Amino acid sequence: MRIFRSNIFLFALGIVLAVQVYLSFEIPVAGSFSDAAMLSMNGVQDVTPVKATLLSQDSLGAKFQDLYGDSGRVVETPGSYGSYKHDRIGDVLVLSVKYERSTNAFDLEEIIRVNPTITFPMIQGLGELGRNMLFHVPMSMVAFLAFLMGTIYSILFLVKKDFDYDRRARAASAGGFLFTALATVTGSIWARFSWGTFWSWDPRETSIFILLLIYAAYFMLRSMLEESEDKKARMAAVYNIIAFVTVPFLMFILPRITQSLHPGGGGTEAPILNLSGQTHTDRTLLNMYWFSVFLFFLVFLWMKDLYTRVLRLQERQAEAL
Amino acid sequence: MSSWQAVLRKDMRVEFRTRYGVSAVVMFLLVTVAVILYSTPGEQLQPSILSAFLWIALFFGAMTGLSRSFVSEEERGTALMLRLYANGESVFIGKLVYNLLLMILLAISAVLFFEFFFTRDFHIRDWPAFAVQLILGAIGIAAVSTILSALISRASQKGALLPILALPVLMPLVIATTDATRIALEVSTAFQNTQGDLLILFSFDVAMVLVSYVLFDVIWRD
Amino acid sequence: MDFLQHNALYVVGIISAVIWLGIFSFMFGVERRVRKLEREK
Repeated sequence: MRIFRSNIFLFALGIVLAVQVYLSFEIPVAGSFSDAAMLSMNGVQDVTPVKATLLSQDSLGAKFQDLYGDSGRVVETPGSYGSYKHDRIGDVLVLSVKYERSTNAFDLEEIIRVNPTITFPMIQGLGELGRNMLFHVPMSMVAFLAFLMGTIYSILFLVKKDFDYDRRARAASAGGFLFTALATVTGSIWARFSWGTFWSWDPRETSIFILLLIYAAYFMLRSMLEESEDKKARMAAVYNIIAFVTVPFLMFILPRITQSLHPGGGGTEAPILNLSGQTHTDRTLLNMYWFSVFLFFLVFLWMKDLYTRVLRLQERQAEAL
Repeated sequence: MSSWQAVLRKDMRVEFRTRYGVSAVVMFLLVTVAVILYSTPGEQLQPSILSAFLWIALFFGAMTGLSRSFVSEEERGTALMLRLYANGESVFIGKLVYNLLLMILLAISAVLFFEFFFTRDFHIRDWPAFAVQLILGAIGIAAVSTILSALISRASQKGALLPILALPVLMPLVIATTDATRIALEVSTAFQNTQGDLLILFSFDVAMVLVSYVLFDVIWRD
Repeated sequence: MDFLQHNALYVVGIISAVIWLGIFSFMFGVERRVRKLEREK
């Protein structure tokens, strides 16, 4: 991992990370007029951001053309257009509209953005919380890759008996542990906004907690055994492999089968990994998601590399004594 | 006779002489059932609660009964003899089968106790489904307990470690079995509703047995 | 409290930025020390 020795690369990584955070919160979420109507009728929210083209406007109101879904639906918003006058016909606007059930009409609340480069789609039931797709889910994916890496290194260690693999296994698993913790934290923040509480022992939350326990045991195992360093490392590697057997169950299978509020549980469709093979997410969001995964994975690789080097140095110091 | 059967017979003979494992397990079950009885006098127990109690009893009974498989060898100094006389493969299979038998005994006793003490509420409506998930659960618990107790047999605090390591690892299994048991107690068409759980149990068992079989040698060899 | 609810989005954004910054600077600090120690060899 020589590239991490380059300060320029690390600096660039930091900048890109900052940009990713900025974009994740700056890009507006916008749906269609039908989304707004549906959300209002389901009692979720009355005011929804919508993406539409300005067709015409006058003192009586404005006409918009929906860009999503039922392509081309034309909506008129009455008089309250007033102080939100916008002059350029043809502009794409992100509007905040209020749906009136009684009249089946939309009321313009405010203009959020003019000609946005990209917008996030209004994912069913998520809305603004969809931004979590760029943090919580990528972290969770990186955690999985990290644990996988750790287990591969453990297997390599057992086969080749090279201690460096053991160090790398510890580093990778530690990175996985950290990213799982980060995913848990971002998940609980999401839960606070979505369901009201930070933690409710939902099946998905419980299984991630168990996962943390399993790997916490991995890190403590060495100090609990009374053996030669060589034997301890091999025992730890064995445990790592056993632990990884549970990971697919805890991360992917169980939360989808049990009754859970988390997307993917109890009958809902998970946005990215699901059995139908199709993703229920807009292209834009999906691309940004994969980019986030890639970015966080780079951060993880740096983490792993760094910790491995620390371990090497520690052992060199111990030998020197 | 082949090596693993020799290992199995040795363990069974030792157990027969002292009956430590079996008595510990039976006492544990009795205490569990008594506690439940005393804390829920006259209350109607739902299948979900009974299922949870059953698997709590089975899990901790397993920790009590199965943890000794390698620890006792170390304590009594017979571990070296075992290494001399049998190869890793036979030791593992022998211990695994022994633990499995112990586990099945534990499971059957637990079910009998529950049937006896909770006659009013504990009704297994779908026997085949119940039996299948019980056996699959027993296999998984036995496999994980065997490999992990071998792992900790040389640790500083041998007794306490097995539950700490085994509980999180067995969680997927326990979650699936409690769900399946609950359904088997509720409906007689349990097989349809427990497809997911049984599949999880089956794949978990296959994975764990294979992995522990392959890895045992690493632990056993010096 | 109301301020928090209205601007929740930005608050969360700033907090995530701060957390990443914290992680990054910590790791960079370790990176510098490790490089120094490796050179001493």
